[in-house]
Amino acid sequence: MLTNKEILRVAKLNKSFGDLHVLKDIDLAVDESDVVVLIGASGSGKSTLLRCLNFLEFKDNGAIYLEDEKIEKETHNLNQVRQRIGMVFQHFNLFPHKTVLENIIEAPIHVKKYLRNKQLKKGKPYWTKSDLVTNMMYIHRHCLEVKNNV
Amino acid sequence: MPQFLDKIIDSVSHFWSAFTSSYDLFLEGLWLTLKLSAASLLIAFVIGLFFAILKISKFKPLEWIADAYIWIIRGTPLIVQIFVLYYGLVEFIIIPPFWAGVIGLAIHSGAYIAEIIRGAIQSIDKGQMEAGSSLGMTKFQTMRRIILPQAFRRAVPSLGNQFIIGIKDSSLVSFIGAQELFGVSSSLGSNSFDFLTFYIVVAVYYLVIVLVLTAVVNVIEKRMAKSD
Ligand SMILES: Nc1ncnc2c1ncn2[C@@H]1O[C@H](COP(=O)(O)OP(=O)(O)OP(=O)(O)O)[C@@H](O)[C@H]1O
Ligand SMILES: [Mg+2]
Repeated sequence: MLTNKEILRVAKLNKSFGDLHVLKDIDLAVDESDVVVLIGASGSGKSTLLRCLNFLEFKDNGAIYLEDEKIEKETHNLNQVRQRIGMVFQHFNLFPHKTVLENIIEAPIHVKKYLRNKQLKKGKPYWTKSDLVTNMMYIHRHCLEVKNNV
Repeated sequence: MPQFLDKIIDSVSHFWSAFTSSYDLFLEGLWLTLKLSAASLLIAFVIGLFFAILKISKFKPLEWIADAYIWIIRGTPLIVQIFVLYYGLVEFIIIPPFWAGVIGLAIHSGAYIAEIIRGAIQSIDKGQMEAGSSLGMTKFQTMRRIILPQAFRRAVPSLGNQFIIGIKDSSLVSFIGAQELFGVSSSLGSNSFDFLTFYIVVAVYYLVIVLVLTAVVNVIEKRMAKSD
């Protein structure tokens, strides 16, 4: 049997908001190409866990490993760590002043500094394929215009 | 009744002849008003953006600096600020009227613009900053590429309003000797003792400037609404 490389590991993660202890000793391991589903009642802490993994919230204690590297806000440049993690927000938090395509290529071009033309070419297949785009279109009134232009 | 009509026709033709005989002087004044306004509002915008960012800074002393600036400038009349620059500083530095006016108007409008931009920035959903972070963008990058473009769109109506105020406020620079629109009308008024006519003439010039600027702001607003 083929065992995949471990991508993400969480050990004994705890997080409270004031008196509200949301995450209690969370352990989690995700291997390469795993698809993991978190199920829980509303308010049970799914978003909080994801936000901790992307360092938008800071854990109280416990450990987060990304590809066997223990990540701490004190020792790591979090912007660089976040470049290795993709995340979709509960409310999408798309950029309303940008087109669908511009939303997709924003990070590759301005964070990863890939060439714009190359990225525009890469962006195209996603944008016709993905269902995500359908959600995006809802927010972007002029996305149809873009579709016709691209 | 005909007498009454005669009077109106008289006044109108009097106004018209004052208007046509003075337009070369007024056009020079208009040009100076536009230069004063454009230079001061451009600088005011930069000042405003700078202090808006200080104000939302998490580092308290920076916020206090912005608070102090806004408090002092909003708390004192523009004419006092212009006089301080022009007459008050005469022992240390002699600033020509045009530049004293530009600087005075710029630091004055800058305080109001700072508050407008700060409000617009804070009105943007904080999820936008998080979204930028989650992509690995720095705070500065997210501010420049995500937050500010959206904030400016929201600020357009208030900024337009502030620019209109700024243009009309430039009339105060006539009190330190600049022959801008209002200065021209005062001179013509005192030369002819026909103050009423020339103040009405100058009012018409200001009305036209504001009309044009309002139209420009409306077009920009419509453009932005379309691309939102
Ligand atoms: N910033 C915060 N400050 C205080 N309490 C918070 C904060 N964020 C989340 N909470 C609380 O933590 C708990 C877990 O919230 P979380 O959003 O993680 O739930 P969830 O599982 O994602 O719920 P849903 O299924 O509704 O999305 C909730 O009780 C919520 O009110
Ligand atoms: Mg949630």
